[in-house]
Amino acid sequence: MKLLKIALKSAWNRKVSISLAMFSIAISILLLLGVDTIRKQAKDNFINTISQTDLIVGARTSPINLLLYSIFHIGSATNNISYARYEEIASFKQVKWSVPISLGDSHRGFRVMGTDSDYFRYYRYANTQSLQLQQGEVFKDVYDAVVGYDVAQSLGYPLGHNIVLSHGIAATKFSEHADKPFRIVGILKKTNTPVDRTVLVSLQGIEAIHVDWQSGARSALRISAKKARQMGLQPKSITAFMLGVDNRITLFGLQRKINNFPNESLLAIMPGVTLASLWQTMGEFEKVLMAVSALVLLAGLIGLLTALLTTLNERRREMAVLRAVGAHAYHVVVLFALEALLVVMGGALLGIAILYAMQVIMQPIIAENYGLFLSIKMLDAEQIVILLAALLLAIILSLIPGFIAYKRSLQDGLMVKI
Amino acid sequence: MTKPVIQLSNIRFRYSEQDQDVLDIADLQVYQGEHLFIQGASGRGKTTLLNIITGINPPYTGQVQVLDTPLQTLSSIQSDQFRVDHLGIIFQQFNLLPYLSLLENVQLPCWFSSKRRTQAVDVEQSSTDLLTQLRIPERLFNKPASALSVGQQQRVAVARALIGKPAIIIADEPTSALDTDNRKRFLDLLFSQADKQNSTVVFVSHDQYIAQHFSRVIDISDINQAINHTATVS
Amino acid sequence: MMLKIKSILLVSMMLLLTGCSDDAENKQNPSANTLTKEEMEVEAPVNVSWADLVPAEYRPEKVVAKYQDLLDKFEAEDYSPEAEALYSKINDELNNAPMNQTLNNQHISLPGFIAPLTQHNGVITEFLLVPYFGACIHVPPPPVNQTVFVKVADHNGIKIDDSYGAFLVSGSILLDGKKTDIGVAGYHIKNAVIEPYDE
Repeated sequence: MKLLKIALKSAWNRKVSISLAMFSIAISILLLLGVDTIRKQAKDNFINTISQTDLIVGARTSPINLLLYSIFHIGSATNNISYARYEEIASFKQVKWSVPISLGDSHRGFRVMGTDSDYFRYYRYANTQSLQLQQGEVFKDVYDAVVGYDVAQSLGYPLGHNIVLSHGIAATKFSEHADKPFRIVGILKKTNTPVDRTVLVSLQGIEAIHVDWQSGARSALRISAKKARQMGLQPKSITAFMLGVDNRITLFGLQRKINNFPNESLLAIMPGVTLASLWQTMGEFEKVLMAVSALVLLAGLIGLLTALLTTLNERRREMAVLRAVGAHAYHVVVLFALEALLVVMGGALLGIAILYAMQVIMQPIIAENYGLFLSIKMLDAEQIVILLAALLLAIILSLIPGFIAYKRSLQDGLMVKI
Repeated sequence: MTKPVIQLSNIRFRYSEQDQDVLDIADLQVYQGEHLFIQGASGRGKTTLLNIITGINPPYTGQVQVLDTPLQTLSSIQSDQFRVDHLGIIFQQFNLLPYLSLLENVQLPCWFSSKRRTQAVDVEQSSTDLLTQLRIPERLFNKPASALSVGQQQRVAVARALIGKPAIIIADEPTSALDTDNRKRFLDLLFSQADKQNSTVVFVSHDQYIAQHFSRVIDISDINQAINHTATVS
Repeated sequence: MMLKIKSILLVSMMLLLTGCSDDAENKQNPSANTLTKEEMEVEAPVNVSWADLVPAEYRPEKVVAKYQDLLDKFEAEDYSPEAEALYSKINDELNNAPMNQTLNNQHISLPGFIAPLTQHNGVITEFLLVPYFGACIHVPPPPVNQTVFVKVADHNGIKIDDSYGAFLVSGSILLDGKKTDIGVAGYHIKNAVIEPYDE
């Protein structure tokens, strides 16, 4: 199409201002799609991390905090709960299964979670998936550990490797339980959940490494690993536990009962309900982010409009020549629309390219720092609609200078009055 | 006598904001092959007359016949097509699109008119031939128009007006920006090329010294009755 | 303190439930408690209210009425163990009220709020339907006969993002006769269709 060739060459002639307009559109598209992608990915991550658990119980805190630290390993517990309370609740008639968890230690930046073998039986993610071992077996000995896929991968751990756990969630040397190394006996298959970044040990293992830390710091009285193994190692407290019940209609009653437990401040949450309220909160935030991004896009488009309007005078002669060689008046409008289309399409492509490049670069960084697994996907239907809306808006805006140029070209005729 | 290629009868025209006619011409006829020079001071309606002849602005009364076609009955779109099919237009200045090469500039009318494309036979060849005949060096053919001197630009404009052999060449003060030497050269080339193609030339200017080169000279004040009523046209 | 809380709790629950039933009374057919055979065979689901899920003789007003004489013996701010015990007893009775057997296998519509249990890719496939939501912590949770376990019909799931607000759930309501240690298992709807509920 000759008109397209003219539009392209004309735009190339003004490439500086066109490029700037294109770049500003690229940034706004990057922002719009970036925000949309991250919020969807974050939600996907959360959704697929836990299923089939009816209640999660921990020391009283906010429901979202409990959900985040117990399942997503984001944040920390405010307090521990007594093991006695756990056993009491776990033995209620309506409870079908229970899994205790103990948090608070780490290994080189990865969270350590104490639990029992029931964790491997009952923990489900992404609908109905259960944890599978890629190599080895579940822990049996006090100092056995099972690591998640990413732990083994990024630290290069084979089965049988010895690791030392640290107290707290930072990876400093002075808080290590160096005298009680653990041996990796199992490596899990990849789950794309925070489990991949977790080191799993038995509750007894957790007790063992803390047996001489009772005052909150390393005591002078050292107890060797061997000696610790022979001690009772009965856990006195845990951080939280998960429950499955027989009949879910009774969940509310059970939840209330646990929340009202005398002598200990507990919080029981239904993960589905808490997740929904997390969504509600995130939803408000998302709306604000999307509104801001839309405004940025509008700013970019207005920048384009400005670029087109300021060139109107320069291009009057151009239009007169075109009219003299047979261009119709409406071709003038089409030229402006084509240019706007070019800029927005070019800007969108550039923005999308930067978006994917950034995703590739940031994927490992975000996983490590935020426990979020960005899966790099194609644009979804919603995002394509956003792009099409931007294109449409650009064309509509281009009609303003287009129409002005159209009218002027009709008035100018053969003599351009400048 | 053969039919005139251009015939204006009782046309009157004014721009929409004005309350007096700018053009009032009872009769004007131009014949095929003529080199017509229309002279007159600025503001007497020369360009407006060209707008009428080229179909850009229709008169509110009267008939404009160009090549047996009554222009005032054509729609805007038809008029645009007619213009490119049969008329080659040269402006006073800024004839060329700065972002197209010389060859592309010359070929423009063939992009919009299939009639002229056909008549040119080989558009590419035709454009290079015309430029050569108009004494434009070959090394400039693919350069952008901004690389040329004013005199060269005007000659390229002639090539564009001529390509595809349109019946009528319309020139609106094309030599005003040229010096005397270039002016002579321009006119010689314009006439020789137009005659080769049997095109009619309608040339408008305020410079009466050029008039001597033309076979027929009209003073706009003689045919435009509207000038008697107003001193100048804005 | 406990007594005061419990008295508030009792009164509010009664108010809520009677409130619900008053609303419902205005809207649907008056004898929803016992659906006739003809009504059973009707295509369109019958609108029921939460009050209908409680058999007539176990309505809160009736239960409290049974104990009215005993209740009158206590002052509003009575903290004695006897008062505690009485309230506890009344509460338990309300909590353990049985199901309304006449509703078994009826095709009904019930408005309520969604407490998600299971979701698949962000779409809720199983949930508990309750009469109120986010209620003050001082009010006890809905008793077993005011909770419905809902399993969504294929392709009728609702996104987590959209699950706030009231919804009208339609489907065949079943009484799960399975006796467990805590009584009858409760109301189930296995093939629910969900739509937003406008008052």
